Amino acid sequence: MKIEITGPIKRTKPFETDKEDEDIKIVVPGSIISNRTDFMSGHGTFYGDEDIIASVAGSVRQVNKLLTVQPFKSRYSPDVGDVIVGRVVEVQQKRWKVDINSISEGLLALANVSLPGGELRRKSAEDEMRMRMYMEEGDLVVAEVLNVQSDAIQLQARTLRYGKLGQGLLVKVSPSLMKRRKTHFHDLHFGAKIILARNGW
Amino acid sequence: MKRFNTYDAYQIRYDGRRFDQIRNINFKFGLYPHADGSVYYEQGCTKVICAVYGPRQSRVRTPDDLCFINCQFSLSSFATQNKKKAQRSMEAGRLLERTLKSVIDRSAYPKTRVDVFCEIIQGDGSNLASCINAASLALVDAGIPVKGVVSAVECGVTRGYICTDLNNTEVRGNAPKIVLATLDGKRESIMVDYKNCLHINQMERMIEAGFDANEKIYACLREAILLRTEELRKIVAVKEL
Repeated sequence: MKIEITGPIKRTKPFETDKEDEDIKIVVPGSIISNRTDFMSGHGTFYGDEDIIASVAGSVRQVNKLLTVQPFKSRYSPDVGDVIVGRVVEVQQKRWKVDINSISEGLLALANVSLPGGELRRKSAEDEMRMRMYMEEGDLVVAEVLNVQSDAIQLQARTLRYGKLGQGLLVKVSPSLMKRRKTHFHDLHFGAKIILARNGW
Repeated sequence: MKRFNTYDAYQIRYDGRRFDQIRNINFKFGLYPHADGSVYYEQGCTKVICAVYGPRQSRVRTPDDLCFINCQFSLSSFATQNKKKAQRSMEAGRLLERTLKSVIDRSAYPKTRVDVFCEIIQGDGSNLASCINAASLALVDAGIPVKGVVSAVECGVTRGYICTDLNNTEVRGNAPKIVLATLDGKRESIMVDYKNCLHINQMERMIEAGFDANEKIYACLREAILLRTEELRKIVAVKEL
């Protein structure tokens, strides 16, 4: 009787790092990056007495006179135009509140949603009552970031590709792994569709 | 009553350290993948798990709409020699909260909250100090902007000798002890918690010893953060196609 025993496949390193990455300066919070006179402080830094100090651990990036420190792992910070996937947490009077794994919740206004069936018309008072029939708490929705303000992230789901998601599987990864690309919607050759959202969901 | 001496004639403490020596520090990041930042931190035999969630949406509103910081400090039932019910210390939680409030930039994220949960799974003295160290590592792992890295140490006086980084036997009893927290290893304290009676002449020496020990602990924490950042960089860096 022949027995074959197999174990877990040895994991190969999925990515290779470029040689240029070796020159990136890594800083620790509280370390001085440079003096105040030459540069301005951006995200991830703050002004000390006479110098610019890092407030997160990451790599220092310099764009002209602006110094920023990018952390390698953090909550998703939205940019305008990003494709994101979120879960509805609350249905308010004229909008939905969506959890998008970010610092604050996203707001999807009724006016920024295309109705099922593709109709384009102004939303009436009856549509407000029927909001819950379209999307409820716990539904998944794919949308695009419209506007980012200090306390609100506005989303829109106007075109046909955005909207409520039906059957499928949600896989969560770290947001820093998702880079911005031309398309985030892909059709796999065996019939499945995949959405790679910028917030890691 | 026989008094237990925690050091011998050669001025070596019973666990083999000198008076100003700190214990070995071990750490492991990323223990909870769903938490924004998490760390398992060991200082000698004191083992702490810390998880940080945030900044995220908050229903609680603070005056001036600053970031709301919630700290929970709990001691497992199996953490100390006597099996007790799992305790949640309000006082230690408030001290941890005050320390972190002065370090996190709260105005950067209005109407949000940061939750810090510390669980001591083995308490061998310096419980609060280890939690502060673990919490500052977890905050940096979560990518929350902070003014610097907080390091904390517990110091005490036994028969005129000042011991730093107390372990369980030295913490017991009514020997005076302080928990001193500093930022970036500098000689400025951001939190001092002090217990029992101490002669005023000893206070300055205790604080000086605390500063010295904090410099050493800060060096260890800084190394930990650099190693973690390197590890994360290798995961995130992708060859641009």
